[in-house]
Amino acid sequence: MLQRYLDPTVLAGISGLDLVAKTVVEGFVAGLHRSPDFGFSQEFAEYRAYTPGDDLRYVDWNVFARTERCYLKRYRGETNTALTVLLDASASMGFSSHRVSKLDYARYLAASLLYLAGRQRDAAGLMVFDDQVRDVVAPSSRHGQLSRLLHALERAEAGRRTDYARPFLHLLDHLRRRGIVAVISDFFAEPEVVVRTMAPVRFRGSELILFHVLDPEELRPHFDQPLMLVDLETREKLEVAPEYARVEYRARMAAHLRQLRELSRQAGMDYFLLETHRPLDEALREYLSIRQGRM
Amino acid sequence: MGLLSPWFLAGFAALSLPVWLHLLRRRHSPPREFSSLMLFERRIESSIRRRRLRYLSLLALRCLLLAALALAFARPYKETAAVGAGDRLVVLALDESFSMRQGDRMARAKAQAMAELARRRAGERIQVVAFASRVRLAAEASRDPGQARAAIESLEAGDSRSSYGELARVLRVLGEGANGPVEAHVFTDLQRSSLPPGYKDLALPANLKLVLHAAADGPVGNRTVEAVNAPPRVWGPAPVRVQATLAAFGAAAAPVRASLVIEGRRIASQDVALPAGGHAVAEFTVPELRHGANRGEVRIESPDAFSADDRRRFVIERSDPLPALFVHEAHERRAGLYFRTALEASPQNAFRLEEASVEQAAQREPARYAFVVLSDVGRLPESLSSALRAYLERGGAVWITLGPSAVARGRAPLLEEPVAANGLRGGFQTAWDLDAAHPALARAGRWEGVKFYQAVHMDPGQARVLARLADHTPVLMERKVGAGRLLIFASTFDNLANDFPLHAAFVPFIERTAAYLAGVEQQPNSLTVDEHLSLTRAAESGAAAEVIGPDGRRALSLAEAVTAQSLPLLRAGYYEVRRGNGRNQSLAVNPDPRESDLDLIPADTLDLWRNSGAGPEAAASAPRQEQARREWWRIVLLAALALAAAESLAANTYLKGQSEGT
Repeated sequence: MLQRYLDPTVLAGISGLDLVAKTVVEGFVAGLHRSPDFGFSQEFAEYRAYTPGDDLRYVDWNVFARTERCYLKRYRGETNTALTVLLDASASMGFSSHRVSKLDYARYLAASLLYLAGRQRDAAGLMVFDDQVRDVVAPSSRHGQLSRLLHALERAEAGRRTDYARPFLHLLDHLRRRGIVAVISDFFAEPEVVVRTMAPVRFRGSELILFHVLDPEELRPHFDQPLMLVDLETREKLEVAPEYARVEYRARMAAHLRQLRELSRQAGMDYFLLETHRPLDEALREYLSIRQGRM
Repeated sequence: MGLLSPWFLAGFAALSLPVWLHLLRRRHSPPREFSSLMLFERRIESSIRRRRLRYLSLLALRCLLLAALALAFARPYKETAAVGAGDRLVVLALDESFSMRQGDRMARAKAQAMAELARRRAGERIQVVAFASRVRLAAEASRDPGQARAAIESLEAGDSRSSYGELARVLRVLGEGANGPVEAHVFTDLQRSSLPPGYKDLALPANLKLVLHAAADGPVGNRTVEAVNAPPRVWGPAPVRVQATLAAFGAAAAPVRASLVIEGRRIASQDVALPAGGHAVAEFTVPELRHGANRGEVRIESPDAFSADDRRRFVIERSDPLPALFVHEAHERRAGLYFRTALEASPQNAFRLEEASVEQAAQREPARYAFVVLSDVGRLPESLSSALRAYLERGGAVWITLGPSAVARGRAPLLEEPVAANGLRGGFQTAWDLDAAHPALARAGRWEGVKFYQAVHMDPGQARVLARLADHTPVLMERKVGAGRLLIFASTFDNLANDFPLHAAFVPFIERTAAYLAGVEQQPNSLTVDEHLSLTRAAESGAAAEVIGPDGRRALSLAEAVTAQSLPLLRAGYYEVRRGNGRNQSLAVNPDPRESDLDLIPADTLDLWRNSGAGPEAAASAPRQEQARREWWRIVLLAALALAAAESLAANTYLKGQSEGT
C-alpha cells in the first residue's frame, strides 16, 4: 500500500519536499526491518564481543544490562560525517517523457538523502549547479538545516548547460572535512571527463556517490518516424531516424553507461542508475542494500 | 505519339491518391526537445535522407505504376510522322505498256520521272519500277539517284497491256513492307481500259501517298484491227477465208482501207466504213497458200494517231493430210466405211486414211502414220505387234476397238489382256458417264441416243476411263504407253455392236479423237501478248523446246528449253516453236486490243484511287499505328508489372524498417 504512494508520479502530487522525503525515507526504512541506525553515518559500525584488554569505555552498558553480555560498540569515525548533495540543475535535467522530470526526481532523491542524513544527525549540505554554481547550502547539523536544504531544493530550476568543473572546484575549495558527496545528474558528458573532474574529491578522502538519473525515454527512445530533436542545452537540431534510435542510440547509451559505471568503480566511486519511472524508495533501498553489503 | 483511347488518361487522376497518402497525410511532427544529442551522430542524417529518398521513391513508384496503367489502357501508339525523311521510300513507277508507244508518251513519262527525281531530297530512298501487265523492278531502293536515273533512261515502251490493279497490288506490298511512309509517283497515260473491274483492286495502303503524273494530254481517237479470224491450219490447196474485225476507239466515223498481207505480199485490200466508236468487218480470201507456215497480217492503211496497233498478225499453216492406218480383219469392212466417212465429213480433214487388213498392215511401217486404228482384230502378227509397241513407245498413237474377234480370241490385240463378252441387260445400254474434259470428247456431246448392244469387258487397270455405259462398263479408255497414246474403244464402229455411227455425235467424236491421237488439235496460232505458250509436252518428254522470238533470238536458255512448262509472250511478233517431237509451230503474237483504247480515266475515278487508302493527309500512319499500338501498350503494361514488383519490394523494405523502428 505504501509503495503506491512512492510512485514518482504520486510523489509529484505531494506538496512539500519535506513530506516527500519523509514519506520516502520512512517507507523504505519501515520495509527494511533492520536497525534504525542503518544509514550513511560512518561512526557506528558494529558490535563486537568484549575480550580482555579492550577499552571499557566502549562497552555498551545498555546491552550488558539487558543481556548480561559484554559488547563493544565499534566506531569508525571520530566525528559525525557530512553529506553534501550536488544537484545537477542543467537544462537537460528538465527533460521528461512523463509527469516527473529528471530534475523533479533528482530533487526527491536529494531530499530523501538529506532527510535521511538529518535523521541520523549527520551534517548535510547542498550545491545546485549547471555550468555555474547556482545555490549552495553549507553542510551543517544544526536545527533548521533540513528546512534550508529543502527550500534550496525547491528553488532549483532547470538552467543552462552542464559543466562539472566549476562546481567541483567550488566544492574542493569548501570541503573542510571528509564526508560523503552525492552527485545527482544525468551525466550527459564524456565519462572520462566526469570521473576525472570528480576524482579529486575522492582524493580528499570523501566518499563519492554518483546517482545517474535518466528518463526511460532517454534509455529507450521510441520514435514512429524521423524526428527533429532539439538539444535542451545547446538548442542544436538533429533529425533522427527511428532505426537509429532503436539500434545505434541504445547501443551507444549502453556503452556510455557501462563506461561511466566502470570508470567510476575504478575511481572508487559508487555509481547507481535511477530511472525516473521507478519508485524512489525501492531504488534507494536497493542502493543502500548494495552499499550495506559492500561495507 | 498518339492515343487510341485517350479517355483512359482520366486514370491519371488516381495519381492524387498516393500523393495524398504520402505527402498530405504524412504526419509532420514538430521538433521535439531532447535532453542531449550527445549520443546521436551527424552521420545519421544521411540515413534520414536515404529513408526520405526511399519514401519518395516509393511514392514515385506508386505514381509511375498508376500512370503506366492509365497509359496502357489509353493504348499509346507511335506516329510514323516522326519518321525522318531518310526513311521515306519514294517509288517511281513508269508505265511501259503498249499504249505508251503512242506519240511521245514514253518520253514524257521519263522526263517527268527525271524531274521528280531531281526534286527529291538527298538521302531519300528511291526505287524505280516499270509496270504493264506485271510490275518489274528496274532499280532497287537506293539513296543513289544515279542508279534511279540510269534505270529510268533504260526504260522503253513494250507490247504488254497495262494493269493498274497489278500496280496497286505491288504498291500494297511495298507499303506494308516499308518501315516508313511510301510516296509512289506513277507516270502513265492513265488509260481507262487498264483499270481493274473493281475499286477494291486499286486499294492502297494508308502509309502510301499516290501521285499520278499524266503522260497523255487527253483521249486520243484510234482505229485498230481488233481481231483476225483465220484457220490456224489448212490441209489442202483450198482457198482460205480470212476475216478481220476493225474497231474505232473514240475516233470519228470514216472509211478505212484494210489490206491483207501474206509473207510481206499484199494479197488484197478492202475499203470498210468504220462507224464512230464501232466495229466493221473486212473479209479476204486467200486463193492458195504455200506449204508450211504462212505469216500474214491485216493492216489499216489509213493513218491515225497510233500507228503501232494498225496491224494484226496471224499465221496459217498449210500441210498435206496426215496418213492414218485403219487395220481390220479381211472380212470386215463396215467399220472402215463409217470411220472414213466420219473423217472426211470434217471441213478441214487433216487425214488421209489408209485401210489395210492385218496381213497387209504387217507390211507397213507404223511410224509413217499419224495414228493407227486396230478395228476389232484378233491375233496380230508378231512383227506388227512389235512394231506397234515400238511405235507407241516413241510417241505414236494407236486406237483399239474390241468386238467379236477379240472376244473369240479372249484377248485384246497388242495388249494381250483378257477380254470377255458383256451381255448387256435389257438388250442395250446407253452412255452414262463421259469425261468431257478429254480432248476426244470435248465436242462430242453426251452421246445422247446412242445404244450399245454389245460391249467387251476389259479390266481398265491403270487406264483412264473416258466413257462408261449405264451399267458402268468402261467403253472408252486411255492408257499411256511410253510417250504414245493408246485408246481402247470396247465396242466397234460397224453399226452392229452399237448404233453410234448413225448419230451426229459420231463425226466430231472421230474427228476430235483422230486429231488428239495425231497431236494436231486445233491449237490457235495467234496469241496475245502476256499469254503463256505451253511447253508442257516438251517438258514431260524431257525433250528441249526451242523458241525463237520476234527478234530472231532464242527466248529460252538451254536449261529452260528442257524444263520450262510455259513461256510468257511479252513481245508482239512472230515466234517459231520447235518442239522436241520434231513438230514445229509458228505463232503470231499481237498486243492486247484493249491497249488500243486510248480513252483516259475520269478525274473522279483518279481521285477515288488517290484516296483509296486513308487519304494523302493521313498517309504513312495507319499500318504503323496498328503495329505501334500493339507494341506500346504491351510494353507499357510490362513496365507497369515491373513497377508493381518494384513497388512491392520498396514498400516491403520501407514498412519493415518502420515496423522495426516501432
